Amino acid sequence: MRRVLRALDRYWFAPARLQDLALFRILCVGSWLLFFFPGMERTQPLATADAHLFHPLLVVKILMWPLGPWGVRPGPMFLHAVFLGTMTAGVFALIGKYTRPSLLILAAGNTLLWGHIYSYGWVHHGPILLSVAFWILAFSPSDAALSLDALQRRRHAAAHGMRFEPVPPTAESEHAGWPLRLVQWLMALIYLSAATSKLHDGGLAWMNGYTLVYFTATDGIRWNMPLGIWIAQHPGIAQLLSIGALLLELTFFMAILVPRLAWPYVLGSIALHTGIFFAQRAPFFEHVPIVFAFIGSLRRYPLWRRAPAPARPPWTVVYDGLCPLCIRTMVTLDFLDLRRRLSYLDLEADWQRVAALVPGLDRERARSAMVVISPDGVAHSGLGACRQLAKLLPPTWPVLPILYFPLSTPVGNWLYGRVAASRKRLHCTVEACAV
Amino acid sequence: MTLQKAVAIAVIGIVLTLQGRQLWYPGEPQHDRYWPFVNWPMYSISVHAPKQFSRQSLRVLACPAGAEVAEVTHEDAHVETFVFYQMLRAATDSGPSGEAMTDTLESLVKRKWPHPACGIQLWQQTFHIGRQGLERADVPWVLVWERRPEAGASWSPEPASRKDP
Repeated sequence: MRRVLRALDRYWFAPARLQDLALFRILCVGSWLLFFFPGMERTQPLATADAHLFHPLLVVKILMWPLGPWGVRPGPMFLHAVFLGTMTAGVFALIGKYTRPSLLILAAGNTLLWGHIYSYGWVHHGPILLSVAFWILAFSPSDAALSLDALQRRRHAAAHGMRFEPVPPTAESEHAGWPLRLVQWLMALIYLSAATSKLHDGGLAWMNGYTLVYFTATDGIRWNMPLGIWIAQHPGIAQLLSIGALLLELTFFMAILVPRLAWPYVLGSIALHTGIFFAQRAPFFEHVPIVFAFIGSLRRYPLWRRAPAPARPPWTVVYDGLCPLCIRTMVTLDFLDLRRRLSYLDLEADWQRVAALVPGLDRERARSAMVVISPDGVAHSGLGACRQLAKLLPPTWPVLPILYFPLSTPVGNWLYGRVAASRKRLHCTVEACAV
Repeated sequence: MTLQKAVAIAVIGIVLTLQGRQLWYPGEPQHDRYWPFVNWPMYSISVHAPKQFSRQSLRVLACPAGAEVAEVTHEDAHVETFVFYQMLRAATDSGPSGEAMTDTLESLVKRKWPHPACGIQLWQQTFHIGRQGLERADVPWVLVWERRPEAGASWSPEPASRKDP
């Protein structure tokens, strides 16, 4: 028994990249905000329908329970407020500000809104995976990377300890893997449920070709989908497609057990749902962001091996290690450096290495303004350094034109000088001061 | 064990149990009660050739008589898509239940159609699936029934202030 528990512990809590989990959060929340949120045009007509049509789902009863008697019906104004609150929470969850509370509000609001829509006699499957994924993300450390929360925590810790350490994108945690693995298993169980229903209700005859001909014909004609009608006129192709669909649903869990198979199954899943849409207009596009729960396996076992690109020599940022503002700035630069183009040298602690990179560099000049050294040894300081950094860091590209506006050089130099002159500078590091 | 780990184990256990139990009900109708943890029985029956199926279209005769005919969609009727199709299918039945559904559709058009109407019609297309698949996708529409108001009268839209399901 203990060995089983240890094996389960090793499986669910195996270290995984925090950045993968954060990326999954961004993909799920971003796609929800753009495409999959429950719009008020669906909610409001139902909220004003006759009360006897309302048969609340259990989840609606549970979520409404703190606000009234068991089974209370949410009113139109309340639902509108929930919608606005949920959308706001979605934006916060996307950028990673107050991430976990925002995800909790997003999960509850989204579940309540969809649950309310489905409390009038018809339930759809489309929003299920995202609804559950938001709850899972809310209880996970999805805020530990690619979030303003993470940036703020790092800036605070770095300034407090007067120490800057770059964090590689490969940083791992034992709590970063289970949410992604759980979403993978949820997908596998859902596919398995669909496959077992087909085998139970239709038997092996489900793959006879005429079954898919019938489904694509009924939906293709109803929604005027040429692909559906075409498949309906080719039973042989319909048979191949139905065998492929059932095999994919039945064996999807193999993508989890054998990570090398993740790519074929992920592509198969995307092709299945895209095909279903274009043949039958059944929109299950919520599954597309969800398949990125396999992001770790997809990266580890790519479809084809590319020769590793030659490592590009980094640009070096020389900063003042005795200046809290400079240390916080370095944390921000490291956060924005998605392409890992920067390396960092502390002016005080690493002066020998700085001098070796740019032999003629004046130490006092480096103390007065940040210096950025290109791979071929050219030093840029002050506003020039800011311009180089803006070019190197993709998230700052939108502000790049501002740095080259007419008069931006005198104004920028003046502004930079003001900030540099007013920054605090300590006389020693925390450790040195303690000594 | 840390609190963080205990919470993770609880979430894993709840999600896998609630979704995993749906595997035990493969042949049953969709389990809506525990949404978002439901089973997936859609499109699970098997079909053999030859097979025929039909689709229906509810149309409104605009007033004055002889003006154009417009199709009533589920959005016009303010009814969920598949419920609307089920209603149309039920209305093709020549028995009492079909009559009752025809009354319901007439009532829906009277209340929801925004223009004066001089009658409603139910049309049907019947398709055939043979050994070569779908035989024709452009089969002609056939009139199933037609209803008109009393001679010279029309169904007028109700005032917008009234709220109906």
